[in-house]
Amino acid sequence: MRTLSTARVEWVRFFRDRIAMFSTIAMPIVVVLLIGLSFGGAGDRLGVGVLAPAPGPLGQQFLSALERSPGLEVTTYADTRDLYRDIRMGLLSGGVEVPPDGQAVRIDVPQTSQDYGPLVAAVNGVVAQVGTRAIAVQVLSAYVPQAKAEQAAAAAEASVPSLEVTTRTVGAVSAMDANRFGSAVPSQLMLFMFLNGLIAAAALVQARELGVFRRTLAAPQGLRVYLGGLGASRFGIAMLQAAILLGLGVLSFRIDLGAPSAWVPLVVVYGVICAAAGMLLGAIVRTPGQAVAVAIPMGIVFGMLGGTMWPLSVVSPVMRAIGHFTPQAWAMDAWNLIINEGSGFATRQMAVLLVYAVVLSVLALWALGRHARTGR
Amino acid sequence: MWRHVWLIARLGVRRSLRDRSILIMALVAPIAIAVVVGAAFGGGASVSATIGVANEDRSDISAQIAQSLTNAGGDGIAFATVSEPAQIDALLDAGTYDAVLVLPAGLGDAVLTGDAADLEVVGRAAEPLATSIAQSVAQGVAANLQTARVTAAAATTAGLPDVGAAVQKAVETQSPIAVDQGQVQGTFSVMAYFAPGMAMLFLFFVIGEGARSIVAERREGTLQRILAGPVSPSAVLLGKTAQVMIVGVVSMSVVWLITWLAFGASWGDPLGVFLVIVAAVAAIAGISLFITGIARTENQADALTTMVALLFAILGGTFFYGAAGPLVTMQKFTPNGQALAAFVELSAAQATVVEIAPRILLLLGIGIGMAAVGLLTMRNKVLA
Amino acid sequence: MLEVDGLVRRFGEHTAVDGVSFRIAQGETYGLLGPNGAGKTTTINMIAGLLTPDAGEVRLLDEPLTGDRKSLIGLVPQDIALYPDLSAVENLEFFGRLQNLSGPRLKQRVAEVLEVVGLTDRGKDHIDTYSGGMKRRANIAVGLLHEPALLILDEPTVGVDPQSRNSILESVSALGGAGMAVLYTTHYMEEAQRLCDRVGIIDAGRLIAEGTPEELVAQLGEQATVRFRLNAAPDAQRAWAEVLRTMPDVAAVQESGDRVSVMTTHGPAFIAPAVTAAREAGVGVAGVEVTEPDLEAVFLHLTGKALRD
Repeated sequence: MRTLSTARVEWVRFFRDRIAMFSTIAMPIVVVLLIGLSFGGAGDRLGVGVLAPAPGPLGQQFLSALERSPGLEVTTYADTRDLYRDIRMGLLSGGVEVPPDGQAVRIDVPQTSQDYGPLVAAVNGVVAQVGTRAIAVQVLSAYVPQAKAEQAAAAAEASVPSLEVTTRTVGAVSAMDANRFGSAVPSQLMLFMFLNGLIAAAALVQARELGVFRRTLAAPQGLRVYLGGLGASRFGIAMLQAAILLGLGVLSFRIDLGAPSAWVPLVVVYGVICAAAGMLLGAIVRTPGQAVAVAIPMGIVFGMLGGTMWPLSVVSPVMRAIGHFTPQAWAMDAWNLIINEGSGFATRQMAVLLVYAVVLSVLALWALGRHARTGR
Repeated sequence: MWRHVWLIARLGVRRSLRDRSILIMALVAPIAIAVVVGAAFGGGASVSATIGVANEDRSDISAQIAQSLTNAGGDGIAFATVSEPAQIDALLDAGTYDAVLVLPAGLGDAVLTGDAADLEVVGRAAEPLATSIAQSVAQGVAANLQTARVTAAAATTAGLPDVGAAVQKAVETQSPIAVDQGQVQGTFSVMAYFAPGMAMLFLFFVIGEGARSIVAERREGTLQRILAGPVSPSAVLLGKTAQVMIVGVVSMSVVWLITWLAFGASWGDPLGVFLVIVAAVAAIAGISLFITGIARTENQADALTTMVALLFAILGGTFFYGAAGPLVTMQKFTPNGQALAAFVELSAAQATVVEIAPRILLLLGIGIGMAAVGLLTMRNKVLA
Repeated sequence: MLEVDGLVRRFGEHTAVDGVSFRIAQGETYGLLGPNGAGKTTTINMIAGLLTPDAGEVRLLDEPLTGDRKSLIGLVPQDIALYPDLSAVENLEFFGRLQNLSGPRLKQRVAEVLEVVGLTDRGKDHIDTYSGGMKRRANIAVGLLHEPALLILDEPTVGVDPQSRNSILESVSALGGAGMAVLYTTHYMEEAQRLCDRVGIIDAGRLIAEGTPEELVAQLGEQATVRFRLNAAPDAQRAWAEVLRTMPDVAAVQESGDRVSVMTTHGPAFIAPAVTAAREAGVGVAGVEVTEPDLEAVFLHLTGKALRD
């Protein structure tokens, strides 16, 4: 079949282009690794920065209790400048400044924060742990000499059993969060399939500039064969990208992808969307430079709006609604259903994605056909 | 010669500004992306937890504890009484509470007798943060109760006449550690992080094209025409370098001014910001000239530019910040990472120009060094 | 005015220019005539200072051509060396300023050269909207802008439509007539014959003949060129060409595809015996053309090759 041989030519061209191979295959892997290694395991404690240049004995007690607090993740700072910087950036929920004994401990909260309650509650919980013996001594000293009070208090502390806090949890952790690469692999795959699909538009524009398109009109069914082959090769490259990244995720990182009957159609339809989007872009822009100039920002913006760079659950409902104009958002919704809720085929999302795929493919073929016939 | 340098630079700048794809990449893209990020995260991350208090014990002590907890809520944390302790699991599943603090039956008695006892926290696996906060609160409660018990035991040992009064006093005494709350003045705009990061990513492409124009003009013949006149090769090379510097500094400054003045995202002390912009552009220009110098064909230069731009952007922290681990080290080795660190110092740490001077000098050094190598190779290759 | 002495230039193993020397006097139009690959552009580039010669010297008005003295030369290169995304006026103003023209004088010169090449109406349009011929004319305009003492044109009519070609040749002719020294390279014999006061014939890096067109043609004596268009198998054609070579007063026989060119003093009288021989060799003759001696013939005579492939 001539379509397949056209596809094969494009396929070979891709493999000869080492840079394209790098950005299509290696780059997503690098990003997944970085995300997984840098961000895995966060989110179960409040980050707090501690500044304690010269704590007294009481302060030391407080600091060790702070480290042991289950609700706080403590980072030590050497000066207020870095501490305040990280608080302003939102890297910390707040700061705790521990002066020498006798002065008040200061909880620093960000200027814009409306919700420092949890932080204060956790710190207050720690404060309570430190005072036990001192308060007992203080109360007793009103009645008996200091030394005797201290002796009694020490003995009491040693003998009275402590009140423990036991914990049990209900429900299960979402599968995506259980594995530090679990959400990075599907999201970055969606991002890079689209980004690389769009950048491939540049190569398409070059073919236009070289007049290859118009020449295909000379052969019988020439244009159809050429476009078919082109689309097939782009789709094939997207599938290769998916196979490598997902394969790596499952085999090396042991992530859970859910039921294959659910995610395979998802990846296939999304691959068609990316190939068609790239071909449509290639038909619209006029120079390879323009193609890259539009492809990269568009890939990033769609990736952001669609929830591949951060989950849409953290943004406002308005942004979430805007995001659902992108196919990425629907794809990420589908991944969530398939992986976290084990729901099998995500019917509604797949229907929407199918519509995207069909519309984009039709537009791409129409635009390229028009160019071949009219040169515009 | 300097007149020729200026003429060549001026023509190059004019042609660049007329090129729509350059305008898109240098101005529209970074601003658009920064706006999207700003819209997504402008409100700042919020934490909130609703913690249920289940009193399975019917003593005065537990009633007192439950009362003080439900009064103690603050911004972002709320305590509510669980009406049906038997339904705790179901209520957690339904999301009515993020975690539940249980005062188990027999707690009050144990407190008075000095026996061992537990407080229980029940959390949702999907809400680890609320669970751990509830644990901290429970530890606080346990600590307060323990203070009373220890005081009681010590009072008994010391032979105090009225142990109850002593306990009461212990409960009323403030912790030796006083706690103050303060606000950290000054805000940080997420836009002010993403705008320069994205601007730098795209500048690699924009400046790359400018650097490559030296080779492109050789192919088109205009370079020879210039050299056939009374113009020295050095003037051409310096002119092109000036061209890319001007385009880079102007476009990044426009991104800065628009995100600052129109969207309220301050990047920090203006003098410092401008110097970092110049230094960052110098580094990017140097790398682009280096790439153009060592590449064998224009296509190779183009491809190398794309790869370097994306790699440096990802490693330099353009797409996310606040990471721990290997990323932090890698960031230091990219010009993007160094520049973003300087920008963060200016905007979030409210640093002065003097404090970021080392980074500025480092970026300038990279720029000048790589530009020198690139220009020298180009001089030999292109202008023979 | 221009002295070129013993220019040599090698590219690796290949010697592109091998000891070329010539002079151009004030107001003279000198043609460098030769086929593609003869070394014309390389010679030009060395004269314009774009390539350093491996040996030899170039002097204009008794001084070497360096630095500011390069303003004495106007170069019209073979490529369209213009910025396509700028207008002709913008291109002219840029290159003019590089040549140290400025202000009202620059504007005046720009208007003047556009007039000379006939592009005044389209001056504000971008170069990429021009036809091939218009681009070449704009190319020439830039070369003229700074009123050079010597104008160098490197194959200025390649790929140009006949109308534009004619107008280019007329402009160059007018410039020569007005007293400008011109160095004109081409592989079109008619142009050299029409425009040039003197012609240097160059092949494989060497200047093999020099003189006025009349002097050069006179070397051929009475020789005319008879061109046969054939209808024959290659073997038969070759055999017949061999026969022709043996015939009396035949100076050279050259085959090119289905054409055979013969240089002979007999001229028209040669046709009959040649056709007879053709019939005997089984070669069909489709057409015959006799041309009086010209520079193409001179080249053929000197090198046994054609000027054009």
